[in-house]
Amino acid sequence: MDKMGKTDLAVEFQKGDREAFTQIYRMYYPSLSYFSYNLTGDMSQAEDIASESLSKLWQRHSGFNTQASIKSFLYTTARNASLNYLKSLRVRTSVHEELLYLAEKKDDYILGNMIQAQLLKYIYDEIEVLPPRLKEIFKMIFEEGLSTAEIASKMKIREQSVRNAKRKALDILKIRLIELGLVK
Amino acid sequence: MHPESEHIEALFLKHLQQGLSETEMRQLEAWMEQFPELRSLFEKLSDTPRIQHDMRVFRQFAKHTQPGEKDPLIRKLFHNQLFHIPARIAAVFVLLILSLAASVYLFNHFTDGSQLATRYANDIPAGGNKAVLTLGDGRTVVLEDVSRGLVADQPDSKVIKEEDGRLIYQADTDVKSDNSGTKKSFNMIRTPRGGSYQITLPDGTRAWLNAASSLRFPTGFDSGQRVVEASGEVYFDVVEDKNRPFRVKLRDHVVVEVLGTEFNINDFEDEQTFNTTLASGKVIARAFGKQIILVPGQQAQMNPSTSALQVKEVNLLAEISWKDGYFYFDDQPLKVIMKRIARWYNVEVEYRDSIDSRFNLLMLPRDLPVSRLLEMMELTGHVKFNIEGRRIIVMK
Repeated sequence: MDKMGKTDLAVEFQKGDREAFTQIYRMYYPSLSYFSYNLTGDMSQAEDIASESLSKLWQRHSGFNTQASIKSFLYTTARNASLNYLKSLRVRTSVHEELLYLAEKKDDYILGNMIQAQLLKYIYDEIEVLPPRLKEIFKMIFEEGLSTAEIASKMKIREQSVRNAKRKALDILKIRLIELGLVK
Repeated sequence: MHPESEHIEALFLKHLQQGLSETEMRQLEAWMEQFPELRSLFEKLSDTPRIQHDMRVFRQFAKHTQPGEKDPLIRKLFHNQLFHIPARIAAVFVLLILSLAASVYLFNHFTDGSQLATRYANDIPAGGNKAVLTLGDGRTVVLEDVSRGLVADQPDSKVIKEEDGRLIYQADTDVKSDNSGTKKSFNMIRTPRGGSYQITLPDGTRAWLNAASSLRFPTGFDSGQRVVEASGEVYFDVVEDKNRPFRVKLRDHVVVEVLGTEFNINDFEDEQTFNTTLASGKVIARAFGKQIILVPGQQAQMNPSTSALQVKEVNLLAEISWKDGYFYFDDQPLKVIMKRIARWYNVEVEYRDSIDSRFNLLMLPRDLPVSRLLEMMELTGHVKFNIEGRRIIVMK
C-alpha cells in the first residue's frame, strides 16, 4: 500500500489518464466484486455491479482528486447497486431477505464487508508477488489447506523441499500468518 | 462510507502486518464494541478454514484482472468516446446528488455515535477551505467569499475560482514568453489557522497550502526559472520543465530546487526545524551553504539555530496525508499532535499536566470535529481533555 503511488494515481486519474484508470480498475475490481457478492449472493451479478461502478467512476473522473474519494464512491455505488438488485428480485428467498436487511439497515455489515474485501485484496497481492514456484506451493498450503505430504506427492518433490518453500514464502510475506494462526 | 473507515482499515492492516500496540488494540476494541461486525471480522482473521474459503472466492474475482490481460470493460470504455463525452456533462450534477445522499446517510449514522461527543462542554468544527489572496496591485480577495469564475485579470494570467473552490491561474497564451522588459507582478495566497487551500500556478504546478501558510509567486514565470516563496506547510506537484527549474525559497537562506516532482515543505515558526519531504521525483535542498539531494521518502531537516542540514528517512503517510484530508500520527508525542490540532482547529492548548505517552491516530479524516480525535486519544487511558471555548485543556 504505497501511499505515494496512490497520490500520483489520483492526480493522473483526474486528468483522464487511461493507464491510471486501468490501475484503479485492477486495484478495485476484485474487491468490489467480492463486496457485492457478499451483499447479493450472486457471483455474476456481483461482477456486473463492480464493472458498472467502475465505469461510472471513469465517466466522472474529473470530479475525483484523492484515492479516498475514489474508494468511497466505488463502494457507495456498489452498495446501492446491490440494494437495487435485491429489491428488484420478483422472488426473494430468505437469504435475499436477510441480505437486504443487512445491506439496508446494518451499517457495520457494510463497513466490515468493505474492510474484509480490502484486506483480502492485500493478502492476495502479497501472495501474487511471490516467485512462481513458491507461489504455487504456498497457495496449496494456504488456500487449499493441503498437507506437506499431499503437496510433495502432487508436485513429485521431496517433503523437505515443500517445507523449505513454505519457510521461504513466510519470510517474504509481510503478513503474520503464523502469529495469527492461519498457517501452522 | 463511514468517515472513520480508513482509520479502522489501517488498524486491521497493521494487525495483519506487524501486530497492534496496546493503545492501538484498545482503539480497535472500542470500534468493535460499537460495530459488532468488526469483531467477527477480527475473529475471522485467525480462523483458517474461513479465510481459506474467502480467499478461494476472492481469487475467482481476481483472476480476471491479471496484469497484461485486456479486459472487455476497459476496452469498451476507452473505445467508446462518444459515450464518454455526454456523460461528463452530466457528471457534476449526478455527483452532487450522490454526495448529498452520502452525507444524509452519514448524518443519520452519526446521530447515535455523537452522543459520545456531548461529554465535552462544547465541540469545535474542523477547518476548511479558507484563504486570502493579495493581488499585484495590493487588492485583497477573501477566497471563500468570492463567487466562482473569474476572480482577477492580471498581466500574464487570469485567476479563476473553480466549481470545487480551487484557484487556477491561466497563463495568457497571446503574451510573448520573453517578457523580461515588463515589470513583474506578484501575488500572495495566505491561509489562516483553520484554513487550507489548493491552487494551480500559471505553469500548471499545483500547490496545497495547509493551515497558517503562505505562497508568493509571479503572475507569469520567467523563461529562465520559476521561483516562489513559501512559509508554513505547502505540498507541491510540480510540472516538469527541464529548461526552467522550479525553486522554492523558505525564509531567506533555504532554496529547494526541483525538476518535476512532488514534495512537501514544512516551515512553521513554532517548530525547531523546517523540513522538506520528497514524495516522488528529485529535489535538491540548499541551506547554510550546504546542499543535499533527496530521493523519495527522504526528508531534509534544516535547523536555523545550529545551521544543521540533515537527511532522514520518514514515513510518507505521516508527512503528506494532510493533503489528502487525513491526520496520520504514528506513535507521536502528544505535543506534536496538539500543535497540528491547534493549527487546524484554530484552538489554544493548555497543559495542566505533562503527558509522556505517545499516541496513534491513523488516517482520521481532517473534517471530523475535534471531539472525535480527543476521544480517540482518551481511549488509551493516558490522557484526558476538556474543551473550554476555543481552548483545549490537557490533563492526566
